[in-house]
Amino acid sequence: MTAGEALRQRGWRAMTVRVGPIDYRLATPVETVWRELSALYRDYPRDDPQHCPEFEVSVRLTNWWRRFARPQIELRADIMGPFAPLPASLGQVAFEMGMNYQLAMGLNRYLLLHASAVEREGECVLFSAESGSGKSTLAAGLAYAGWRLLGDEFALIEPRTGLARPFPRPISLKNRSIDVMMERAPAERFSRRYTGAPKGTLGYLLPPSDAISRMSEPARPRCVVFPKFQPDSTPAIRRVPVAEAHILLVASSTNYQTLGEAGFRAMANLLDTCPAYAITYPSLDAARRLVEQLWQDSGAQAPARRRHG
Amino acid sequence: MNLKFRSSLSRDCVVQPVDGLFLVFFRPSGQTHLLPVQSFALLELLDENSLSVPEIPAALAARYDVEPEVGIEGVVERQLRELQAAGLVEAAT
Repeated sequence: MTAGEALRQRGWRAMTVRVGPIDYRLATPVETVWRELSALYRDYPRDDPQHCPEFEVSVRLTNWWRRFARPQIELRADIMGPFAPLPASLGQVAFEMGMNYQLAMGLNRYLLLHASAVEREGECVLFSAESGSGKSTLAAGLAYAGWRLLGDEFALIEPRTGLARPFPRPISLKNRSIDVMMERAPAERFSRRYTGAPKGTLGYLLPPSDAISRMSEPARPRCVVFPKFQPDSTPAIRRVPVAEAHILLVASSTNYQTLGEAGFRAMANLLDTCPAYAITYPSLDAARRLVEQLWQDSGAQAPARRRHG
Repeated sequence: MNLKFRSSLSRDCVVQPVDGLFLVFFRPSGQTHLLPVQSFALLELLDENSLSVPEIPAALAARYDVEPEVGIEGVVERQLRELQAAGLVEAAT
């Protein structure tokens, strides 16, 4: 009997789902949470017997009494973090948090950057920024304007080749970004809005279908961008020196220290081949124009590719 | 007798020169250090020979073919202290 079958026998609903190079087992006994989970991952490869899940995440109600009074859910996962119980209405948010945490704490065959990424013509732009800087919204806007989404939360850089592996999870949008993207993406690609989440109101946007169907196709990084959404600002580009970019990316990586020398070499190679820029923008349209400009500039001045032996 | 210092640059470090600075990955600690050229020059020098603070200005001058500056010993000492705190140089025994 498989683990999934055992869960189902206990009345749980479970699926294995593949996102990029990672297989997750996701399980819950809560029917409403299961329906939302199934809808959000409807386009992803599921329950393939050839793929053993690498990480498991489950969401269940905290206890019997809480099912009647202000029901709460709790998150269980292979790698347990500081997961506080959440209102039962946020089951999907708990799944997404748990999936992120497993990757951040447990995946060390890639250099993990806290970055979104989009691809065109086999090359990609990495957007590295802290939460709330607009990197997910920017990636979503570009993904629904002809670019291929590689991911909105993590860039997975293969140390040996320097390639970025797609990890195109549903895009996590916060607060006003949901409305911004509602004007640009079909309504049926959105989840419902989750109010009262730790970072405000959240909504999930399914990537365009080609991002999912082509998620085994890696891309070569072409430039690194540190975006900053700033209302009322004038769109601006600043070239970021390599040393500064290296330090900024180290701070954004969840496993640079763990990888040790391999992480250092992967980062040095990345910045050897990719110019880095900081952009400030007042709107998504302004950001798109800046990215198009950087795409042209970085293509024209791509430095020679070197390896560090 | 003056205390001598040494580094293990060639054995324990991976170096990436960037924009006139040096990114140095130090294997024993797993840390990455961003060093200005003068600190890196000290690491290179002490990788070849164990030297005391008074010996370093003359060795630097000979290596880079420049005249030693007046008062450079104090600068060298401060930089050595920083490098020692980071584990990149140690007292030679």
